[in-house]
Amino acid sequence: MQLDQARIAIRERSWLDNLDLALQVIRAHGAAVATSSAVGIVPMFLVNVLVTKWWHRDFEEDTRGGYWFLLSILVMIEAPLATAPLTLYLGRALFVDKPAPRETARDFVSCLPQLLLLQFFLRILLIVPVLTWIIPYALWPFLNEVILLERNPLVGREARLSTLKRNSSLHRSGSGDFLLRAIAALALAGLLLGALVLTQDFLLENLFGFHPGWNTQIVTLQLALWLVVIYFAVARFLSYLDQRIRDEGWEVELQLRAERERLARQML
Amino acid sequence: MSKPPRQLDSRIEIVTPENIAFHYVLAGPFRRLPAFLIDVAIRAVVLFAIGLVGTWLFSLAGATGLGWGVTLVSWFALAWFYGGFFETYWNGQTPGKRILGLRVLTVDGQPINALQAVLRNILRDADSMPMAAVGGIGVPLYMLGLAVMAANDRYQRLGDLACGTIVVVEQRSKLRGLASLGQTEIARFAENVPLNFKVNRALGQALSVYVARRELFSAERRFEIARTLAEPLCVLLDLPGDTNPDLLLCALYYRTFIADRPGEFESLADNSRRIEVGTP
Repeated sequence: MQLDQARIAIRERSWLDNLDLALQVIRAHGAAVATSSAVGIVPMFLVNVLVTKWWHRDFEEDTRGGYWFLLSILVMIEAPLATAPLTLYLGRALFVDKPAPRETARDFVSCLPQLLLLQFFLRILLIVPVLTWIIPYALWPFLNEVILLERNPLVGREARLSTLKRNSSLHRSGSGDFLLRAIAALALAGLLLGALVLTQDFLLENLFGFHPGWNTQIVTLQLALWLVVIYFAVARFLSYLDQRIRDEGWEVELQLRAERERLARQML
Repeated sequence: MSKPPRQLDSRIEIVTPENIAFHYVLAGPFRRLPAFLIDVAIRAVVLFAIGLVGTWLFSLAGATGLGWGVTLVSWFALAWFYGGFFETYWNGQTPGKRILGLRVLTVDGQPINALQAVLRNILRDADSMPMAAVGGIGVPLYMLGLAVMAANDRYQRLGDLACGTIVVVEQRSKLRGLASLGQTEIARFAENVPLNFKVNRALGQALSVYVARRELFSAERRFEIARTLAEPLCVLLDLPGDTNPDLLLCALYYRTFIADRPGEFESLADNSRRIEVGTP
């Protein structure tokens, strides 16, 4: 792995630094982040509009609480699949200037069975008994990255690590940290979501003189929710990178490599 | 040799007029958020205390209205000048920033002056736009500030752009102390290193970083990382090519930082961070 050729500086960062850096990554890769996110999210968006429209038609009176609950559950189930193209793009963009969409699509297809099994069906099972929500978010926060970027087989053959083993070894060391981060991320996501929803309303009312009704809000609320999901998917990718940097000593390796080059020059 | 690509990072280099380069880690909106919340909490507590004491004292004198007046003036002063006051007198820090190790500097890395401190804090109101009415109360959403910070490389909000300031994380180097070497194998191997070989500052730093972190890696990974530097060192020191790279780096560390300080080495004997040399 050419660590010195990485497009994101290899350095240990705090979680808050990664949240800040995510803003830079989104800005630097704006068009590609938007495209890869749209590929994953638009189908889910349409499904959610249909499902929540049905909900709204049947429950005319004061359905906002129910709407939010239903939408949150849907997004919790859909988020890993919806952000998979984005994660694959970021994984490639770490070392390549312009990742080829065809290769990203091929990787997505090859990872789809594991994604569906571990991040879709298993997640549905975990969501039914509410207490187990903690598992995908607090105990396995990087499962998507493990499936999409490590591309191990589901079951280990011979000496090769399986997805489950790699997932467990990656998360073993920091489960307490991950739990605290998940709680903090939930609070931050709530604040961001509230601010985005209110800003959308403010802009619609003050720039276009349009008072958004419930039908418009079914779209704008979901749009705000997916924007938050995209942002946290980028931040999660950077946190995964940070975890690898810490566990595998990438920063130490880079420093030793720089010293090696200096010695090589000295010997010439 | 291929040119390294431009890397995204929140670390910047500022070269002073004296041609000295300093590296700073920039604090973005999320790194600043906890400090901001601490300052908001301090202001709220102070205002509450002033309001309570002020209205109580003035009500004793039969001038309750004056007590409310004092509270309102205090609210105005805290809202507009709390940040400016502290950043002027505490060299770019408010209590929240001081607790979390953040500091405001000019874009040239110089300390900020009073005008910059006050102006960047007054302009916070522009960054806090838009305001939304929630339950009849105006709530600042800070989306303009967030958008502006996301749009530039130095995470500057409008107040920072107007005043030419940045917020950086103060780097406090961690004094780890020397790692103790528990195995005589390392000391014995260190005798193979030629006496005239001097470890310079850069190599010493690389060895320290490696020895401080090596225990966190698996034996295989330790071997892999150490080999990066051990290969040219073997050539330079005329050692066999199959020398254990981990052992070599530990021995060099021992020779450089411990062998010449027997007193310190003894005091470190009970240190739990003992080095065990392993092979993958």
